[in-house]
Amino acid sequence: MNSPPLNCGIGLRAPHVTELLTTLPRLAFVEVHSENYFGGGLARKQLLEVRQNYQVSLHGVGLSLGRFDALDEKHINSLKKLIDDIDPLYVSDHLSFSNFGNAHVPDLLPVPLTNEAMAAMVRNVSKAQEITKRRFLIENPSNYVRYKLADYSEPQFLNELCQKTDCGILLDVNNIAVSAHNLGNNPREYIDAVDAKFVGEIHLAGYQINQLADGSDIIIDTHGNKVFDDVWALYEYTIAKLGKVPTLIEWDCDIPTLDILIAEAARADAIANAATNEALAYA
Amino acid sequence: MLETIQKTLIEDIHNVSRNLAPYLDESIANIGARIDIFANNRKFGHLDLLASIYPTTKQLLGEDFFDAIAKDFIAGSAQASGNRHEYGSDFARFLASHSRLEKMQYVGEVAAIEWMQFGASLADDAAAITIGEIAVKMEAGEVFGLALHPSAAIIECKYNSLEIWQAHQKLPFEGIELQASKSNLLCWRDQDGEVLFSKISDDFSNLLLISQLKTDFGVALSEAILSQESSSETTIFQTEFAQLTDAGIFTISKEN
Repeated sequence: MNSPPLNCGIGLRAPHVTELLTTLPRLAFVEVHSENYFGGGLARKQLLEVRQNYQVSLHGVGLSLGRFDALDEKHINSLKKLIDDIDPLYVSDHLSFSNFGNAHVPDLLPVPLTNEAMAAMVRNVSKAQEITKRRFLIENPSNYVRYKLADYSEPQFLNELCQKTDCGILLDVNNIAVSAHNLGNNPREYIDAVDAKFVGEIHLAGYQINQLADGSDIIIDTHGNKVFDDVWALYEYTIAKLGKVPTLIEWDCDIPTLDILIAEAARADAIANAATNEALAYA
Repeated sequence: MLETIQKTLIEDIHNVSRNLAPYLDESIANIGARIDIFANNRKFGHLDLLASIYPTTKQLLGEDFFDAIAKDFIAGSAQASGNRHEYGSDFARFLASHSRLEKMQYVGEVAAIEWMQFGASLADDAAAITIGEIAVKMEAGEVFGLALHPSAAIIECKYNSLEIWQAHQKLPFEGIELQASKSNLLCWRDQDGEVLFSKISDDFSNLLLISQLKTDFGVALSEAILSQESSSETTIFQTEFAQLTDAGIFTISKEN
């Protein structure tokens, strides 16, 4: 007898596409980086083939929603074209910026959590949703620095952004753990402050611990490892608070074999099932 | 304030300056090292990207020399859009004009071939038109224009760079002699998704360059045929046009 469908998915990267299409493992969905499929050719053709077998989520890393000025029209139009072709399960990007003028970086830079930044995010998220005709999920970034200026905590900022734009939250539990370690926050307080009704997806990933010159540790969000135990524990806490949420395992460097990724997704599924069963038992 | 903060952080990342510090919470220690994380993500992210687009160039230069030159390029070249796959288009030109590569001009040409291949693989899809379809349209008196397929690009080579690049795709590498050899090289992706290269005549190259400038392609084609000095040259040109058209280098122009 087949096992029930997983509630979890995996980030699909190029080395796994052929194997995925050959073996068709049972997964709730797969997620790809939108920008990797802006063009045509073999990559786009394969993605359409993947779409025939799976729900696909489009996760952007280059829209720069937090930029102070207007979105790049070429970028958002390329995304719209991809959305129209793929009909994705979710469309997501980040609470971050990546550029100033024509100087972009391949990174997700933190925005100050101010009213001014809220106005910029509201304008850009609304525009992106209006052009693509899709609801966006906005992901909390991993943080290494904190601005002096702040009118909101990060979960407050995300909750209000959702209220103002009707977007949702992509809650990256690994990023919460990374930021909490790096900035000295309590990750469970973060989860407590998130409004459950806005959370549409969860991300889990592995990190890397680096040592700074003074001997202290900093955690880097590398997506290059198995999920760490502290993140699994935080995930369990998150599911107990928010209920079952579609969850994705991300792995972007030192990419392992497909079966390892699927095993991580199955572990997330088991934790989510156990946490929600426990919650039901106490209800 | 938001604009100032974003400008400052982007400048810090590119210039290894630390002007963002006054805007940051100083109770968090090691601010410089934390901004380094963003700067390193940019530097090594772009280095990995260039290495993945230009593997043969890296082989020709050796890992250390490639890394050093790529870092020079990265230091002076910002990513111009949010799509990182557009980064590195100027790398071949940078190599061709680099003082340390004055005696290795073919390296810039090999890099240009690698960029054409990368660009062709990711270019937008478009239906190619065949000679047969052109003939049917002409017989029907249809007015139409041709444009180069979005994946197609042309470069002029002074060396046997295509052969050098091709020799490096085979394992084990058996060696190849550098030769001065002028050619026009066309690269495109066919309808099956395969990226192809072809050496083309000067006349055909001129025709394609004119079509890239979006002037009237029909007029350019007529002029190219009329400019052939003999009927045998005209036949050769027409054969080249027919073969490459059937190989998928043209699409119907939306502007006509």
